[in-house]
Amino acid sequence: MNRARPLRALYVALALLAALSGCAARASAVRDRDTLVVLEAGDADSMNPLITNQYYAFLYQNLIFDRLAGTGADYAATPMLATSWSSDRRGTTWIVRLRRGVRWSDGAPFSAADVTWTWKATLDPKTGDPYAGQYDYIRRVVALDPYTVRFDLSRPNATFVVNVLQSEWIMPAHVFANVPDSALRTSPFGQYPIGTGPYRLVSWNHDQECLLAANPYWWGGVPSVKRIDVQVVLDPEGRDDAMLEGAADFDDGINADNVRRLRRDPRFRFVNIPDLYTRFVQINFRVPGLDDVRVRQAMQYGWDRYGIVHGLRHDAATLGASVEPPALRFWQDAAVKPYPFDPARARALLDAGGWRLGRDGVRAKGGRRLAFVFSLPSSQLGNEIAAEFQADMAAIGIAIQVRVLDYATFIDATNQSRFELAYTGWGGNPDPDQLTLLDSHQFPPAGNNYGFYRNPAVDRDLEQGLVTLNRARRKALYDDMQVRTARDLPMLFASNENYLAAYAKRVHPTAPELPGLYFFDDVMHWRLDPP
Amino acid sequence: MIAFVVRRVVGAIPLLLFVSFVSYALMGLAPGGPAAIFAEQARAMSPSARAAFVASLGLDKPWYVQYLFWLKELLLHGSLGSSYVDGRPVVLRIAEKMPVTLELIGLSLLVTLAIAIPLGVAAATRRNGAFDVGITALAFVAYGIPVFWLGIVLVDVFAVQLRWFPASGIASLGHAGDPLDRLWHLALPVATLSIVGFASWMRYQRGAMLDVLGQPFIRTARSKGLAERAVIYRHALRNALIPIVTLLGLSLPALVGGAYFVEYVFSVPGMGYLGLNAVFQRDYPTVMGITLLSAVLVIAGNLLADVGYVLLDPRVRYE
Repeated sequence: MNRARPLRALYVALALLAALSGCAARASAVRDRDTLVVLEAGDADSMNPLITNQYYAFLYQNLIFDRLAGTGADYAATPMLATSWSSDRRGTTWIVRLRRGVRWSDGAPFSAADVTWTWKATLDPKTGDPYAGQYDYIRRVVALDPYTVRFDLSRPNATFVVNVLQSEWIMPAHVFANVPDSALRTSPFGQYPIGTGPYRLVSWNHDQECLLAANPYWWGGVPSVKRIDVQVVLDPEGRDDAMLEGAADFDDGINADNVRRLRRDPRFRFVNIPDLYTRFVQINFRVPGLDDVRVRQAMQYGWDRYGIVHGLRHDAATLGASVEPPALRFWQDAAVKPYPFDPARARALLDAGGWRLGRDGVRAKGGRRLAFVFSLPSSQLGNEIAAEFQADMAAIGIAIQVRVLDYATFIDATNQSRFELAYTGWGGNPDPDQLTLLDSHQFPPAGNNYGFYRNPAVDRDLEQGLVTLNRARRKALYDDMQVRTARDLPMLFASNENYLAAYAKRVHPTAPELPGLYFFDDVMHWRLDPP
Repeated sequence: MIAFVVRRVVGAIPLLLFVSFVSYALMGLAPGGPAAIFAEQARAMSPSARAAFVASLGLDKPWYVQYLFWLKELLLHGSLGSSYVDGRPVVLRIAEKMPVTLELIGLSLLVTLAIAIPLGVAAATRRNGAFDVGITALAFVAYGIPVFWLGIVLVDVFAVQLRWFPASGIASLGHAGDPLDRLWHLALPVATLSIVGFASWMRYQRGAMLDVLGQPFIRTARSKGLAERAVIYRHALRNALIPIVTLLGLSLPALVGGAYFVEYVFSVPGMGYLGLNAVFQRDYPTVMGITLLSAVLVIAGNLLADVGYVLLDPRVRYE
């Protein structure tokens, strides 16, 4: 017997594999006219709205489930599962009238019982809904009849329509008839969701592909986009390739470098709109030096954010000016302008504050040096921004030590106020309320004002703003708050990233100019040309 | 023989317990828990809501108490628990990702052996010659390269610069079931593992071959006039493969560990990718499931090595 033979067989097999894999390299995908192929840089954890808290999960949930109210121009509420809503004069009782003839994607009828069940489950601590804490003012939700629901609130809350009607997805009570709330987290519903939305889940291969098809029971009719094939491609270059090869129609969430590469190709259109997120450097007021408003203003004047916006972000970002995100145009105070880059003024402010330049190039006063630790979670963009910030601060006599942490460690450190300067952000909510972050009654552990910022006038604006239902009066309060915070600088405003996407010309989105929570939200109204 | 296997399996239990305890301790003592991750995105979460959420996952207890709960579930119900991230059973999440990892490891092993065995034989038969010295030097360099670094370099050269191979993933769009497309995607990850792995195999093969070549039966084979080729491949290699086969089991830990990093670098959705993401998300149940499974693989590999040795070499006996 020849013992060398197995070895030879191994080579033949490997050679064959190698030769064949070369041939497979480029072959075009089968495309069909009614299927929108979407590229995403990540995948959802679960489709269960009660336990998720993640961009990609929201993306699918938007298509599978409905909220009571939708979001229209300027983030105003539009009818969805609810056809109308109204409150009493105090704003503590809301009556919500529901759409008739709505069915779940399994054919079962939708009614007020689904709404009351959803709220019972959301508010029950045993469910572990990460958003439950925002709803501590909801006392109970009762069905008055199969198509009318009443929300009883313990105090008026101006965010009710945005955070309750426009945010929470309604879930099918009949599916959970015998499931205790403590078991909702592990329910297979997260993999096999049933909703009233325009699409239903057909198949889902985690971290690879998710296929959605039009829900035949949807109350809104038949969408022109019949199927949505979401492909998870983690590598940005891989997503570019798929677009250039014509294998995909829509790249959701590209970066500025991708735009530059795809822009040369006339087959694509781009979305470049402000987002609902604000990026900033949070300041810890308990750190000596940072409690001096002149130091904070000097840092803001001395930070060349134009370099970030034009250089690093190729203009797919804007200069932060306010604590309110750039997409919330209605709530932005027009009087609040971004700090210009003005290092001379920064030095003058520090001189006026008595911070004298030492022989080591770092300013100091009474033995206290202006030297701070700048913490941030690891990311390429973050690292680049940190390096620029460090250089800019050195130029005005402030020493910055950059500390890059893994995400969980960073969050842990900021939540426990163990930071001096932290590069972070917040947002996602189309409402101007910032109470938990800026109000002085919200110092940890009571709330999320991790930097211990305190201004009684700002407290008053925020507290009044939360209970003022009149939109014009409410706006005046938040305008005042923005002017004061822009002067106080509880954080240094950074640059705010735009939402960027690319799509093939065969795709006709309805409103690409709407700075949406999710650009994808109204895909059921889009139109597709043949590929 | 059966008694030996049973003894080894039973003996592995305290070891597995120890591994699980140390892993849990490391995780429990690391800063930033799962609650912090969740709370970050829902920053409006009030402290009481956060406390309720933490309690709903059992994370309000110290880590060693959490460990005992975890252990109890495992021993009494055979359950590895459910992920904090998506609520699905950990076993299911791992089972979904395991085939990809096994495919990657299996292919790498095939390629590694296909390179290492003939090189080892060639080095042994040209002992201390220029080829032997050269290939040994190369082997030491390859052996010293960190897997993740080599992966990044290969991506940069072959995916980003030359654009011959994809930089990540395991399938092109619309080619989910196409085996050739899959091989094309796995080429760089497999190459990474094979380049780092071939060195030790080559050295082992060279050593085993030298041992065998010095034995009397080789002299006999030569003296009866066999061609050198036949002597080496039919007589010597056959015997020199025995220690190599036993090494297969012992190489499992390095392969599994290497595959984890490679999966992360190349975004191959396997166990390593799942595991590293679970670490970043502080998804304790998933991390524990994967750690435990890896420990079982390592122990099983060692056991297989011992058993394989007995089966292949009739002179070895375990009492």
